[in-house]
Amino acid sequence: MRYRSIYIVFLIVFVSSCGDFEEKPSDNQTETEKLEINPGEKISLEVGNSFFSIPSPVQIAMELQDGGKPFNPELLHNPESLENYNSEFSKSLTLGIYATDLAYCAVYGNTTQAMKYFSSMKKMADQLNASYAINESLLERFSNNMDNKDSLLSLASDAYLEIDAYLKDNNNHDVAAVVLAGGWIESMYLQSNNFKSDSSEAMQMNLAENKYTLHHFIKLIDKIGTSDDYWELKEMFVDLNSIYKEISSNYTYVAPETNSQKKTTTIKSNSSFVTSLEISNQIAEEFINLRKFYTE
Amino acid sequence: MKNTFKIFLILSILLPTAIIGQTRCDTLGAIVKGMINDNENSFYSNGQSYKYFLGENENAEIITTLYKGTTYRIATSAGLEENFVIFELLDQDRNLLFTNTDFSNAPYWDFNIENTIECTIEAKLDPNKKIDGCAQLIIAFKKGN
Repeated sequence: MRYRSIYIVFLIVFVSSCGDFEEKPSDNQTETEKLEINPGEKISLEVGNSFFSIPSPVQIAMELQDGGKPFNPELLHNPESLENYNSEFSKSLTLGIYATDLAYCAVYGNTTQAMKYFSSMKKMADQLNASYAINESLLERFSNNMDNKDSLLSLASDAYLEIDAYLKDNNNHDVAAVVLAGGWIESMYLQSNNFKSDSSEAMQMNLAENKYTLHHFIKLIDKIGTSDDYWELKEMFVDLNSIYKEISSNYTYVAPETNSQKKTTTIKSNSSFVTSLEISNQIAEEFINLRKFYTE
Repeated sequence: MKNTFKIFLILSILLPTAIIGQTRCDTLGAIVKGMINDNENSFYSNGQSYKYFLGENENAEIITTLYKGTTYRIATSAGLEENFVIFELLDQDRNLLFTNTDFSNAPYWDFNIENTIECTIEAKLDPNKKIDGCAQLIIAFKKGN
């Protein structure tokens, strides 16, 4: 009985310690200690040691602004439509959509609209039990920096990062992936609509360059999908991928150049995508339909 | 009663240690976030958290697309010392584009991207400095080179 009690105490302490890190121990550190840490981290490791990085909504919104595209509020999702979403999947996806709309408003300096999306993100995060991610401090910083575009962009990125980190830290990798998917779908929806009014080669390339990201999402959903909602989304991404497969890409390695004083390396490798107006039109149409499917 | 007291005593000694350990792991985010801004540069995080637990000889990999005309900053941390993490940037054919081991395990580095490319970032702990533990990586960006 006595040993059982002590065992329970150590078990509690061990569980509390999971995720701790240690600096290099002496050579005699026991193997047992390492073996004990791993089981608590198993869920993270299964998903956690291989990541797919998705382009930031802020980055895509910046691309649109740099390309001279005007702000179009009609493209944005209704920030008051929270009540329309009931499942964890639809809430997560909508949270991602709001994050992109927030980024879009922030990039174009539309602070009033940005605040609405930030507030909707907060409410949606609450509903997903991730209220800790958007805490009072972040809200306060947001309110205090409404007039500073750089700060607003930084806060929009931070909000996205905090939600992602919180969900992943709590082993909600599936929810985190859907938030990212929602954000990306909305970004591509904005790009696709802008393509409709400007089908220049640069806009075609912007769509084509997301070939790899789509591929990453399909692999990610395969890895973390937990319900039919995931498989339905994957099916739609696979359909989209069949169009992307018609875009060929070439890559040639070129030695990079490093400036050690500036701590900077210039990556000079060449890559190109061969696409066409017809393929770009099909891709844009698919993204617009995909976004409609999840918001209407 | 005596046993309960012993349990309480052991817990009161060991639990704070465990909680402090967890906090140290949680604070990595703040350390790497501190690296994406300095006096000359202001980078925006790409909004994704790459935190992992690495064992001995274990790698983490991040597959990412780096877009042309953008400068990326990759920042890493595995604790209070700056040089615990080794990270490499590889192209789609696994050609080595950069390794921070050439620069004393520099905790962050900037990359100017001339053409959009698919890359893999591989990160591991430097076995001479740390055997296992949490590590975190952030990818941040700014427009223009």
